Amino acid sequence: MKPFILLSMTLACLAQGVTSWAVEMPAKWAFEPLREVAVPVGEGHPIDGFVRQRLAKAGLAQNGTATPGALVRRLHFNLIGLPPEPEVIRSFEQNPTGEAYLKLMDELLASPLYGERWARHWLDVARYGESNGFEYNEPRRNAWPYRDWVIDAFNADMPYDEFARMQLVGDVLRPGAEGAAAVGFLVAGMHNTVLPANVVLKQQARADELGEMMGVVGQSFLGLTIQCARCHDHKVDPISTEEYYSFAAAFTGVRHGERNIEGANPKKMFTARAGKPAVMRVHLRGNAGTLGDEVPPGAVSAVRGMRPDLKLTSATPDAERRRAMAGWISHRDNPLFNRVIVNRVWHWHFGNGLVRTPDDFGIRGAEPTHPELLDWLASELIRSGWSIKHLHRLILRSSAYQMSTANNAHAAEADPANTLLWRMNRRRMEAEVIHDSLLQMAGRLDLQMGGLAVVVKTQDPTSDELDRNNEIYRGITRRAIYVPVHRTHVYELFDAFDFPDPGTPTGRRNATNVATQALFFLNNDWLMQQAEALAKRSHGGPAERIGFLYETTLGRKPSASEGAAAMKFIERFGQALPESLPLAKRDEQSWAAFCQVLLQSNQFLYLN
Amino acid sequence: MNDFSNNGSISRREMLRRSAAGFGNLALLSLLAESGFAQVKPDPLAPKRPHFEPKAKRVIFLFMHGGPSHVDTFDEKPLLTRDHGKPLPFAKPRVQFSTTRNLLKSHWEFTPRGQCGMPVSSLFPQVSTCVDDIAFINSMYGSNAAHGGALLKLHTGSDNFIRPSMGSWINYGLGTENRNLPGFVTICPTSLHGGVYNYGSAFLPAAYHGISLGTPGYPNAPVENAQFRFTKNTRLNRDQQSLQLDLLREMNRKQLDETGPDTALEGRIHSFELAFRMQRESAEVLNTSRETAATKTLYGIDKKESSNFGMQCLLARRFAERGVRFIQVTHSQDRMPQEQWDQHSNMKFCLERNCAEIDQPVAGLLKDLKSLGMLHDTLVIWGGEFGRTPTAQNTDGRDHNPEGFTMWMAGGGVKGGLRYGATDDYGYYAAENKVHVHDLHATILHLLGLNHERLTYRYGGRDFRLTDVHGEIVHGILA
Repeated sequence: MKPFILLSMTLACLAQGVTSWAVEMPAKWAFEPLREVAVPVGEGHPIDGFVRQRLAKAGLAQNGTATPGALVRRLHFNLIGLPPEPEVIRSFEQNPTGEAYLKLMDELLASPLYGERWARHWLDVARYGESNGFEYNEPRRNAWPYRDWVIDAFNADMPYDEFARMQLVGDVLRPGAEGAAAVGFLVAGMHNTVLPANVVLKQQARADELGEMMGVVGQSFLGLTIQCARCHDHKVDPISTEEYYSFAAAFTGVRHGERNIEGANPKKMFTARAGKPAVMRVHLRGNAGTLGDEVPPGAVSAVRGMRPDLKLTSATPDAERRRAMAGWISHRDNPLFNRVIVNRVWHWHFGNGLVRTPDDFGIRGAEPTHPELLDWLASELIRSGWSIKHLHRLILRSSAYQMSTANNAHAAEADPANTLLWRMNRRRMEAEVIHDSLLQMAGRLDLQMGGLAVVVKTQDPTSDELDRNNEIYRGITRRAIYVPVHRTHVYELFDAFDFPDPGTPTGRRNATNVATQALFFLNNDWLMQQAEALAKRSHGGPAERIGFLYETTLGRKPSASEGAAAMKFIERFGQALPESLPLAKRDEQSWAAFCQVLLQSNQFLYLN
Repeated sequence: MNDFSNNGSISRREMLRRSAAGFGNLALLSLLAESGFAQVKPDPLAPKRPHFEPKAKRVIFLFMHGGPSHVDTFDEKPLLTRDHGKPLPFAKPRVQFSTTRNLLKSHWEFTPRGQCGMPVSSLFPQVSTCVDDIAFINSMYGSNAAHGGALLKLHTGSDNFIRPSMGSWINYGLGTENRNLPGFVTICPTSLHGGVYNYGSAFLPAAYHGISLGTPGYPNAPVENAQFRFTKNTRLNRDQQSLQLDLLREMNRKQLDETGPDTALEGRIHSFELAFRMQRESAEVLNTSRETAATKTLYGIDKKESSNFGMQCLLARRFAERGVRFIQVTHSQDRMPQEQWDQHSNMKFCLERNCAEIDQPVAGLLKDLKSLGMLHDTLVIWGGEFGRTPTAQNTDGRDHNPEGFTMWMAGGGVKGGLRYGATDDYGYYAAENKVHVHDLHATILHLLGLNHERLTYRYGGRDFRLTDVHGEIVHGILA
């Protein structure tokens, strides 16, 4: 019988998603204050001290440094989401010093392209979209100031605590265009505008609206699935239903809508509209028809070292409620607030967080693989005045970040998921990176920043209008972040490559491998146009052209055998074309077909 | 590697290593495989064993977008005819879409049909010849009176949040049998009322997302000309693409030799081969030129009014034959809403036309599946997001009614010639043996050999189910 019991227990653990296996953590670790941790001595960069300590226990070691070419590409794609120009690669390869690396890192962090890349990460979390979704998918043509505000905030390295407060109560903290744009966060999600005639059902719809908002506020900043406590006490986390309604009471003055902002551009903005908050009562079993006790606005008691009592009453006006709650959320002593963001940034650099469930730090979330490192990074962030760029520099200077992706049979056997960070994860490009990179390589990328790029039909489009929408999307040569995000019909390229659902916060994107994606690389006309334009950018003799195309797409020179294979392909492809075509045309098409293969290759799509 | 696996899932290899505590690794693995935990990468669509012996292997869902009237089709109400023009003798729901007037009798005569004597209105002369194979559920009810919410509820089990659709759940649970085609195909889905979310995979891996074919663009865009996304190449022919694939294969293999084993890189090599095969197989499945004239007549393709939906149904059969797991066929045309199944007015003309468009194709599909020996393990489902009020809206219309309506199922382990449940005397509320949309979902999964309480996926800190915390299997309709 004994083995069977063990078996059942193992299953039960798996069913609860306990994925971290090597460190025994107390169940409520994330709710405990940050710990003072001693940096392991004698291991160079503190990050590497923490990482090597764990690797050593498992009898493993860090991989060596990636090749200079791979490093330049990694920095570019991670920080600005675009491939490096061949000259930049060559220059670093000729002088691959630490100094040159840091110089490149600083240049990229200072580039406005950085904000466009990193804002998109945050917009995933903010479930940002530019239409209502639901029954009438009305467009939000004036929602983009929020997107532009996020870009600017990243570029300006706005302190993260301020970044959070601005999104929760910016309209109060900084009245005018900037504050109004920032609180677009609260209402960036889906919104059901078809309300039933019945009063109770209207209240229920309003409760759903608020529930959606609380879900995002809780998960984005705190990694807390607080919305799970709407109908019953949270099933696993220490959050009661009263606390949920107390938390929601802080935001109950906020509604979706448009506001006229004097002196702003655009004058009319889709953003949060603040009004007089209703008295909040517990909805028994989540039902707006059966109300329980009145609850004042307040925070969550489970977070250690923080007082949940915000000293507010049902009479407190909206501005004071949100200001108090924003202060509580972004407080330096709030361990969730600080741990969650450093984990997100780590995740966006490595493809995995130190906590592998970036949107859930609750009891059912994953445990940290490197708890001391997580707390040390959080303390460093606070010490730097919540500078995200400081956090980047810290991470990017480590050997952990600069490791190669090379395989190691022994380590792969011991730690196949690379939990211990013995190598850098090889990662698939995201949809936006594919879009922007293809345009850049084709010489067509338009770097104009901000504003409304195009208008498409979102509400009840006919099939012809849907085709026209895709046509409009295909015509955009600006960066992907400016392509409007219309719920229910996101641009087909994005849709195919795991662009996150703009209905739920997404801290961790999927990177799937499905046939539709291969079909895109095989057949998509827009892609073939970019391949053709890229081919036309290559000049000189065949070897020179192949060299340029390899460097532009894959960031390296071809080997002799690769050059020969390319040459042979171009020749054979030309022979397969109809003889009726003029020679120049056949030549052009063969080179375009070759460029398409470079783009199809795993070396292009997967970054080392 | 940032892969498709969810937070709770682990690779088989990792599992082996983790469980190396000296007890039944292999037993554990097979248990895990059965409980759906062990996800072997990189092929999430590989066939998986169901929880228990299934009755149905695949589903064809005939979705009537707009909310077809039950009291004019499959739910005869003699008292509605008798009391025409009088007020409803009991309270209307507190929650309804808009106000309606007095009772409105049906324009159409009901006649008992088949051996079972099921009364069907004159709107369905052909479907009524199949009643002995059909289980009619007259006591369906839902919870949302708006199209958007009701569509999402029916397709995903949730009307307020974005959740994986039924077809995605089923592919997640069972995988698919034909790896040259997608496992979930939706033919001419509507872009309205949740649109893509009605066949989306939400937080499930994208491999389970429904692949759409065609748009509800008829008559401007007939399904006959429809193609799967990205399968058409306007520049290169197959031979030229073969040359590209040769070079691509060489480059990818060479890289793999250098990197060593990597599931993502290997998976992508595999996906190009699959895509290339899918290009051919999908062209083959969409090419109906070899179907006989008799078959086309059977599906109503030779008649103007039913040609498009007939082609949709014929394609559904062709996908079913090739092992596609879940096929949805939507009747939702490029017309004004009241001309779809949403008859707030002008019901006489519009409902008659809609029924004429689908009657022959639906009956043809059932008969064809039966003669091919496929009906017994193919579950065919017919219905809309809700029914309509027995009370009048405008002069000749009915309003949305989620309180009581009819859906039916045939084949795939369902008892034929059955009328299950009932609405009240006028057809307003489900009254006897009520079947909620969640119960319908639980029953569909049950017929496929899946326990709806065990088919779970961990996301954002909790286990999700198609049926959320609800769902009772409707045992009364099982064969």
